Amino acid sequence: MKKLKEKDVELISAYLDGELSENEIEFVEKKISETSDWRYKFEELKKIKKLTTDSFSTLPEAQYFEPRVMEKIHSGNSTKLRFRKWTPVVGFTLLTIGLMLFLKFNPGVFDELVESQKTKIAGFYQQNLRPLLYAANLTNEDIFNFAFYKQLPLNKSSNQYIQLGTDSSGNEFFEIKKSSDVPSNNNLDRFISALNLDQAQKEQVDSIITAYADYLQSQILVNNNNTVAINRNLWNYNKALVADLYAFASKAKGKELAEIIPASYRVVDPTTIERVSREVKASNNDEYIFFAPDTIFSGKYAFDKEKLKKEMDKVRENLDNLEKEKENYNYNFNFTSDSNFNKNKYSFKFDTTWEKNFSVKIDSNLCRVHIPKIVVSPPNLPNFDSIFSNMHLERVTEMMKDFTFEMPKDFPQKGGEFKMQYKIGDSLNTFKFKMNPINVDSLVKSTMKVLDSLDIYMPQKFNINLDSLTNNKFHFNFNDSVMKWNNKEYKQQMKEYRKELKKLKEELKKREKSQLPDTVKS
Amino acid sequence: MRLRNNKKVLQYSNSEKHSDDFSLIKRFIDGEESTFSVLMTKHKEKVRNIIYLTIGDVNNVDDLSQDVFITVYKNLTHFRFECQFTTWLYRIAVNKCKDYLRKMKVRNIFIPMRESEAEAIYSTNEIKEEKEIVRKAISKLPDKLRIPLLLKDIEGFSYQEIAESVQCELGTVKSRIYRAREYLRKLLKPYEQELLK
Repeated sequence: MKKLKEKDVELISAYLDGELSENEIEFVEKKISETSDWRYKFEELKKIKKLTTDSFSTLPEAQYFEPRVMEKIHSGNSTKLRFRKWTPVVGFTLLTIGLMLFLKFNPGVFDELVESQKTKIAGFYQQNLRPLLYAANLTNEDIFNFAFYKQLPLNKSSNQYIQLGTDSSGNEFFEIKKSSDVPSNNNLDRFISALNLDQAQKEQVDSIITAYADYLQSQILVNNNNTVAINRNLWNYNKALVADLYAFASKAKGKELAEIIPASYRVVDPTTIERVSREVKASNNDEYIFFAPDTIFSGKYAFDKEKLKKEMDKVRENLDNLEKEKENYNYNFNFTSDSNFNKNKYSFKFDTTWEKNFSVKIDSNLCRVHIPKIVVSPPNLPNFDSIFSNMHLERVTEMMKDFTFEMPKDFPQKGGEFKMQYKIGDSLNTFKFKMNPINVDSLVKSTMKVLDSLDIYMPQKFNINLDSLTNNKFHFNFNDSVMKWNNKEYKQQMKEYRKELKKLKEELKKREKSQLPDTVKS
Repeated sequence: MRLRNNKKVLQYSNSEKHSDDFSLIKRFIDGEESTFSVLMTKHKEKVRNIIYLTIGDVNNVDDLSQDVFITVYKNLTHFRFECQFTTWLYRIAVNKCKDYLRKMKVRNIFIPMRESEAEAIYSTNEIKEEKEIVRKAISKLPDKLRIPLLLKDIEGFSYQEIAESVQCELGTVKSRIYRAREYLRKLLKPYEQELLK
C-alpha cells in the first residue's frame, strides 16, 4: 500500500469535517472510490473522528451559575482576587520600606546586635581570669628572666612559655611556645654575684622585682578556658623593669656594671630610665589582647586589682591553708598550636580591624601574634647574654697582653711554621705547628656547602621555615654531599689512627714489662 | 445527555443569533444590566464545555467560566460589534484556558510528583474502557493540536470559528486538525485491535 502525501491526507481530513469546496469534494470522492489507499485512509480518519466525538460526555449543568457570577461582579471579589495576586509583591515592598525606615531611625541596631554577640563571646573567654603570677606560681627568678629574656612560663609542668619579642622590622609580637630560650636557671644569682651586691643591695633588687610582680599581676591573666589575656602595657613594664634594675645597678655598683655592660650601652641617660619607669607605672591601660584557643581579639577588660589584693591578703592570713588552696585551684593551661588552629577556619572576628591589628603565625611548636606598635619608646638596653659575655672580657684582655704569635711569610699562598706564645700565671708557653698553604676559593666554596646543608632556625624567616622545631637550632643532614665527600678521607684517617693505636698499645706493653720487678717477670 | 445535543445552539441562523446577541449587548450598554444574565444563560454551557475540553479538568471549569463572564461583563461596554459575540466570547474563554494551562505547567515544574503519578495511572493496563483510552490519548496531544480538534469534533465549530477563537489562520487550523488526527492515530496504535477494528 502506498503512503499518501500529507496534502492528500489533509484533504481527506477536511472532507470529513465538511470544509471543502465543491471541486475539492468531487476530487476527493473520486479518489476514494478509485484508489484503495485513499479509501483506507478515509476509513481510518473517519474512525478516529468518531472515537474523538464519542469520547466526551456533556458536563452536568452548572447550578446557580449566573447568580454566583453576578455576586462576584457586584461584591468586587475580582478586585480582591487581583489584590491577592499582588499580595506577595505588596508585602515585600512594605516590608522593605518598613525595614528602611526602621534602619533610618535606628541606624546602630545591627551594630548593637553584633556588639552584644561580641560581648557574649568575649564574656565567655573573660570568665574567671586570674593573674598568671598567682596561677603559675612565678618566682623572682622568673620575673628577672622576664626582664632580660622577655619570657614568662605559662605552665611549668607542660613547658609552655609566653615570649615577647621584636621582629626584624621593629614590630613587637608575643608568642606562646613549648621551649624556653633561657639558658640558665639561676640568672638572678649570677647577676647579683657579677655585681658583687651585699645583702642589703640584694634585698633591694628583690624588692624591685617584688614591686614589679605586683604591677605585672594585672598584665597577664589566664583562666581555665585556655585564654591568655595580655595587657598591651606588658611590653612597657618589661622595659621599665629592665630600666629600674639597670638604674639601681648603676647607682649601687656603677663600676661593676660598667665592666659587664658593653660600652655602647653606657650612654643611657638615667633620667630617661626614670621617666620611662614612671610613665609606665602611671599608665592605667585596660586594653587587653585575648588569646583563646579559637580566636584572638582585643578588648577592654576591667581587672579589679583591689579585689584580688583582698583575696590575696586573705590567702596570706591563712598560710596554713595556702597549699591546700593551691591544690584546689586546678590551673591547667595547655595551648596546642597544631593545624587545628586556623584563623580562617573561625569565622568569628571580634575586632573588625583584626587583620590590621594582629598577624598570627603558627607551627607545631609555637604560635606568634604580631601586635601594633607600643607607644612608649624604650631605653636602649643590652641583652642579658651580652652582659654576661662581657663579664670575662677584662680577664681575657689581661691574658691577651702576653699573647703573641708569628705567622709565616706569604701565608696563606705559601705554607710555613706558626709560632704562638701565651702566659698562664707566671709560666710562658710556646706552641708551634705547621700550616699548609690555603686555597681561599676552595675554602669559601666548602664553607658555603656546609652552610647550605644546615637547616638554621631563623625566626624572622618564619614563613619559609615552616616549623621551628622545639630546641634544635639547627641539625645536620647526614645524607649531605659534603659528608659523602669526606667519607673516604675519614675512613683513611681512621685506618691510620687504628694502626697508630695498635703501635702505642704494643709499646705500652713493652714498657710495662720492662718496668716490672724481676720476680714478677719470672 | 451528549455534547452533540448542544449543537441546538448552532441551529439558530447566524443573523438571528447575532441580532439577538447584539440587541442584548446594546440593551446592556444602555443600562439594562439584567440582559447580561440572559447572555450568560444563553452561552454558559458552551463556554463551560470549551473550557472543560481545553483544560481537561472538571474541577476548575466553573471557576474559569465565571472568570470568563466577569471579564466579558467588564469589557462588554467596549464591544465594537465588528465580529460575532460568540467569536469574542470563545476567544476570551480559550485565552483564559491557555493562561490556566501555562500556570499549571509552571506549577508542575515544582510539583513533579503529580505528573509522574498521572503517568503511572495512564500506563496501567487497568484502563480498559474505550472512551477513557481515547480521552487519555487526546490529553497527551499538544495544546495547539488538541484545542482545534476538540472544538471541531466535539463542539462542531467551523474552521473559521476555530481560527477566530484560537487566533490563527484558517489553513493552520486545517493543518492542525489533520496533524492532531494523525498523532492520535499513532497514540491509539497499541489499542488498534479494540478501537480501530
